[in-house]
Amino acid sequence: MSIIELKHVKKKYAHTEKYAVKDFNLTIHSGEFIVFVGPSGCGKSTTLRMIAGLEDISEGDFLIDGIRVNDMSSKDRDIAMVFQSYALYPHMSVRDNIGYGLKLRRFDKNDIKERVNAIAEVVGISEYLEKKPKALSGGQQQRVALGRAMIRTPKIYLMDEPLSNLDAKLRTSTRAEIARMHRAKGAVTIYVTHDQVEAMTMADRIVLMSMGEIQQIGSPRDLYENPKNMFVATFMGMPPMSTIQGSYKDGYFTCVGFTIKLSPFDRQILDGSGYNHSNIIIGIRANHIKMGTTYEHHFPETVITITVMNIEYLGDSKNIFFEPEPGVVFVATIEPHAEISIDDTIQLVIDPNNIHLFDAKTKDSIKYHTKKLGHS
Amino acid sequence: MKKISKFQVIKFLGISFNYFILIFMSIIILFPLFITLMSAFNQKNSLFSITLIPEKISLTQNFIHLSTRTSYWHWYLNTFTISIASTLGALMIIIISGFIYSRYRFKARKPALITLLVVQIIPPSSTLIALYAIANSLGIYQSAYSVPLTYLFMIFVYITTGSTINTIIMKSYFDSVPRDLDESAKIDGASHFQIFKDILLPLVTPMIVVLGVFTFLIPIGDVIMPRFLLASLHSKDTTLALGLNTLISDFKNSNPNIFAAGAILAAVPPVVIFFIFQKYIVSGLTAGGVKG
Repeated sequence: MSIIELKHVKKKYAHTEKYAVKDFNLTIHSGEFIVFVGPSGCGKSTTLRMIAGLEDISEGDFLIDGIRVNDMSSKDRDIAMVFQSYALYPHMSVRDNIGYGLKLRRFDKNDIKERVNAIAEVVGISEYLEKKPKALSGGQQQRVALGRAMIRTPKIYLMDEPLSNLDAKLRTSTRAEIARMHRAKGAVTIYVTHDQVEAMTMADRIVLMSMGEIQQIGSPRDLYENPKNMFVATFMGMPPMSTIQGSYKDGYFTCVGFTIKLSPFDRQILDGSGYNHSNIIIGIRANHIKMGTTYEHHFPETVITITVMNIEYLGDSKNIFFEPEPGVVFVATIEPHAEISIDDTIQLVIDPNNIHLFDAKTKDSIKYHTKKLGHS
Repeated sequence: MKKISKFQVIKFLGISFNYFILIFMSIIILFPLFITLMSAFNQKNSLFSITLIPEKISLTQNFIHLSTRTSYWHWYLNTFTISIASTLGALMIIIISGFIYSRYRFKARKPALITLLVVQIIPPSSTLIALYAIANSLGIYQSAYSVPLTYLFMIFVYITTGSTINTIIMKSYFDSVPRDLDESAKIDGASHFQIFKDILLPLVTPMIVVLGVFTFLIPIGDVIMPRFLLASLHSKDTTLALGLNTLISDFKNSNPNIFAAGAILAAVPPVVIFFIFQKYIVSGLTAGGVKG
């Protein structure tokens, strides 16, 4: 059973004032699939590279099984890594690429051959073993890179956006394959991506980062249903959550575009936390904005009237874009056959039981702590 | 009758023009070579026989003259000893320093690279007198081993002059190898030396060959430096370029045909090397165009 601990890990590059990674704390248990996700430049790759030993850790401790490995070189940390560019050695055959790590560890030649054959079988590249990487397609190269990592049994697998160079279809199938391999190996996998769909589908726990700081750590469901702040709320989920600032007064939320009555639960929290007569931000996911008379009957106090700005037809649903306030774009996902065209004025219903509340100044979720208590 | 479109005419004219230029340039390059070759086999002692192909052809006469009445094979040995030694020495410096400048970050890196660039601007010939003075004050010419020491000194000079700009070229070629490969090898468990030996060295081979061939060729064609540094030595201890030069420098007693024969023989090793390393030379020279 291995435990990986990152304690107050910070990264500051030479000649810069700012920290690229600020105070990173995380404990990873054996067999976990951890995904670091965030926009570009948020420090997720830097953190991964510090774990890999490719970057120095400026401050803090990195422990594997209780042993501090900050100053240990990559090869002694017992890790394997898949790079975004795959980083296959162009002058070596696929076989040598996969077997290089074993060769350096002075494995027996026949042993290497057997292991390479076995792993090639698993990732499905047996017929290309004698070819050079250049002769393979992107997907095949990706498999070689996976195979090269899988041939050893390290404590930690590191993956730096391994799917970003694949086309959409291949990405979906490879995603499933990586998840399957992770389960088969039972080691810790740390996976970096900027794609929240990859994070949602693969992770046991997601570490969402922004500007070098951890925004929230939790299961995909935690992050989606109970975001800690507005950044987490808008980053997770597709289409992104719509948010708007307005004022809260005696149970009613008023912004430029509309006025709605909040649910008793929300009102209780807002009143209890002293938000009456003050500015708040509300967030609504696209699938919580409904259309139809049934909903209007159900929730008559959250009906809003809007002008359709744009429509995206997706086959199984339709995304409707509108601007309650100029410059603030809202998205509603409705059933695909609704007869609506651009510039129509229609009525939509916000589900009052699924409104996220954020502090207007700190952008922190107002309901985060209450919901968290409710969970346990 | 088929109608010929305007486009086809333009295309044909374009191709013709390309071939015209190619043929024209080939003639300019090949014709002197042809004359040299012909005069090397010419029995009469004249550079220009009345016909293009000499009337009396002898395959061996001029070469025998070269072997028996001059110290040609001494010069040959001297020259290629210098060439090989300075190539090996320069390559060693170029490869290692190119690797370090490309892969490691240290304080003196930028100043050192700029210094290399500046030093490289000064033509080596401008320091010839100083080189002679240095050799002299080191006591090389007075020593009992003046010949080997002089050659060692020359090799040293060729290594230094040959490794300034080439280090920078090598560095940029190392730069074109993605760092991901180093890092991947590092995680695979490779040491710094193994990364260098297993990953980078095979990938920069084309440039090593190109720079190697260029450094190899310099001593073969160099007349000026040997003239200064080897002036006081016996005529058999000189280099090819200088030795052959003595055959035609005296206008009255000049032997252009012997010279031509010597020049043809001197060209053999470089040509062979070019043929062996053709593949690398092409890929090395066209490097950086399109990355595969």
